[in-house]
Amino acid sequence: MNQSLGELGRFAEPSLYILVSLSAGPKHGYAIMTDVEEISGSPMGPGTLYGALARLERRGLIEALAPEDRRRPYRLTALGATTVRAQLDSLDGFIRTGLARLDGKAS
Amino acid sequence: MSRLVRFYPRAWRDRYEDEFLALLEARPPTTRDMLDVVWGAVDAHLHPQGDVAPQPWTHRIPGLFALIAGAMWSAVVLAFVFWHESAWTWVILIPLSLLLMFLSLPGDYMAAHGRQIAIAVGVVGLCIVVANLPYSLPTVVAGIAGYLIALGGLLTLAAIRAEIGSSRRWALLVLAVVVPAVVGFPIAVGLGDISDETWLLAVLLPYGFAWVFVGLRLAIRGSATLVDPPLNPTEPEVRAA
Repeated sequence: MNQSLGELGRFAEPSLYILVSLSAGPKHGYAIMTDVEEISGSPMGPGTLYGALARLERRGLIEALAPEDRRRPYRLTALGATTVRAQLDSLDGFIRTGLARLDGKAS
Repeated sequence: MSRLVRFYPRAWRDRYEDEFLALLEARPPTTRDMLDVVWGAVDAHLHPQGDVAPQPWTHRIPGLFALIAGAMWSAVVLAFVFWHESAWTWVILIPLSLLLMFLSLPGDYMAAHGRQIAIAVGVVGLCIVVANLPYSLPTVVAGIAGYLIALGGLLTLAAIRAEIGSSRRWALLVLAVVVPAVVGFPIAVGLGDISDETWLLAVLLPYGFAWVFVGLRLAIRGSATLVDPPLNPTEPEVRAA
């Protein structure tokens, strides 16, 4: 079972980046921001980051851990892991189809 | 930057403020970051996450009325400032904006502010009586003062509804009503020629801007109208028990 990120509207793409970032292990806000910037090549604003974190937490895709100093790490839940895998599989299929069409290998 | 966090709703701040501030302190914020934080605050009001129940769309109506009223008032004043006499066709928007200002006020918050509302209604009634007294300079001055107090009263009630604190309400009142009244007093009593210097009507502009500000805040925060059911239907039963 997994959840669609489509219902998150403008937060769908940032949410996917956050889920991918947390796939490597728990991270706090600043670590997620810098990691997402590395993955995507563009910075994610703090308002967008916390808008997406609140939505992901509410849907049970991530969970907050005990705060370290003032920074609170987040980690992927089992549902979050299933969801991000399903999203990436779907994107993988889309990318393969697109590249195959560009190369003229499929209709 | 930490001041911007105050734009977020209380429930959001209780949950995320500490770690959010730690994040903001971890790197120097850019202008884009600041805009992103403001946009995030608007989103947190419109789409509350967590245990906060989403507000019904009817809660946005008072704020939208106030916002439109302020925009209409400002548009008419600007039309007179720039197009002078040819702006008279726009003047119908003034009574319409006043109507919307009145319509933006009724709500369940009134139960907690009965005294202010009674005073405001009394002042409006008094200014209507004074304005209809036989013409003389003292009655004109008293009438204008009455209307200014009434306009200030309307704005104050809307500001109370928008949960603007007492000191900020007074600052808003001074900027939007008191200062323009002092500056515009010579025009109001006929000492200036409005037809030649319509730009002087710009003193009415802060009042429109103040309603836009209050309306925006009210629309974002939301406020229950008189016909809205309570957000928590179990509450009366708890009280009754």
